[in-house]
Amino acid sequence: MESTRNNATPAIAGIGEAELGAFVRDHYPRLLRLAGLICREPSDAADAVQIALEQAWRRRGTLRDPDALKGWLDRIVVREAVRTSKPRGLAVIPLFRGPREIAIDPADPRARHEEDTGMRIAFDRLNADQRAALVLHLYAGYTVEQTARIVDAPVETVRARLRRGKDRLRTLLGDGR
Amino acid sequence: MSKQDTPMDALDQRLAAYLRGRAETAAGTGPGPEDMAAAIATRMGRAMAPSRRSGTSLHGVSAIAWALLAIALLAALAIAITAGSDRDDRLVVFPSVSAGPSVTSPTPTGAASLEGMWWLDFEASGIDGSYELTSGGKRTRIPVGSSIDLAGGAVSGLTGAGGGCDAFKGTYRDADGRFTIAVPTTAGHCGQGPGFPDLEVRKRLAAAAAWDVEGETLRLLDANGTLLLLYRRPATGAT
Repeated sequence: MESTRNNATPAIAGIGEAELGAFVRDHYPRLLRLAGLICREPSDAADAVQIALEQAWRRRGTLRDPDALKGWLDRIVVREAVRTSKPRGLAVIPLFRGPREIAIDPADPRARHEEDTGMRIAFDRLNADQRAALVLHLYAGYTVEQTARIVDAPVETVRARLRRGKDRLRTLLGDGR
Repeated sequence: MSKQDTPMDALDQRLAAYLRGRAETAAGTGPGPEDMAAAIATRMGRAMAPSRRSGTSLHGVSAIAWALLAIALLAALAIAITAGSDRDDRLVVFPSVSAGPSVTSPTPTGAASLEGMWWLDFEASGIDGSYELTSGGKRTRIPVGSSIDLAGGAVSGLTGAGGGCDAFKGTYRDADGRFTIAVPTTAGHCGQGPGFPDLEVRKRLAAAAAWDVEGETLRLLDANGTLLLLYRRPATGAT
């Protein structure tokens, strides 16, 4: 990686194998934050980001617009995080259901105060599609239309996910209190 | 969030603030960037190596054969679990010393555990799971949620709002044939609006003297074996 790159890979199309490390360092922390908000388990988030970065690196030749890099990576990571978070099929699900779904240790410093704990419980009760829509719209700052493109869903579907997700949060948190 | 195309309401703002905090927490989990880069480089190197590029061989055995073997093992595991499910689902009651006759039970097998997250079934517990909110002269019944998390002798939970004032922490003890839960039983900072069930839930928790787990259901009983609270495990993929 050349020092003149100034802490960011402007585009990944055309850059060589030797720059994989710099590419990961540039994007991994932000993508881990994004996946960590969608996945309930930190290990799932790390797995999703790793898989997504591998996909992105393999397909880097297909990206021609350097300005589209961030959205392109977000799209790959979010889809992988949603896929990772959705319930698996077969009879494996009942074996791992229960406390694994919402794992909150009250002594965990991540549960920094009670309000965080309450919101975490409620947010983790949403399905993966609803969490992804809310994260992209409210955390990442994407518009509804941009969010729809990232999750590859119609705009009205994303609006419905946002609305239903917030309705469920209000129910779980107790609206107005 | 300059890209917002609709004004943020109070819940949006609260959720956005929460997500920002949780994102920073997430950034501190998982392997570091260098480790991740090394892991990806290793996997990419394998993927590009001639022996892996075809994706069909591992120690001379085809990937399809490995997949079939894995499926066979999973099927055997599922059958074994299903065969033992009757035993696992058996009602297991952990009575207190003072528990009445209706709470007597077989010795715990260890198959069931009360640890983990549980959500209260208000209807089954005989508690109104809503409270009255008056706004602009209009009365509305707001549904409430309530959960507890039991782990290693510590109990935490909340009822309804999750705004901080209705969350509680305490301890529980399950040893020497006695089961007790110690949580605050005074009014929370939220106050007790019409029908708000927070205090009732905590009082019932404090009165628990026995518990039993059947499948995905936790029942907390008083010393006479009367049902106080009925909880259920969170449903996977709930919407």
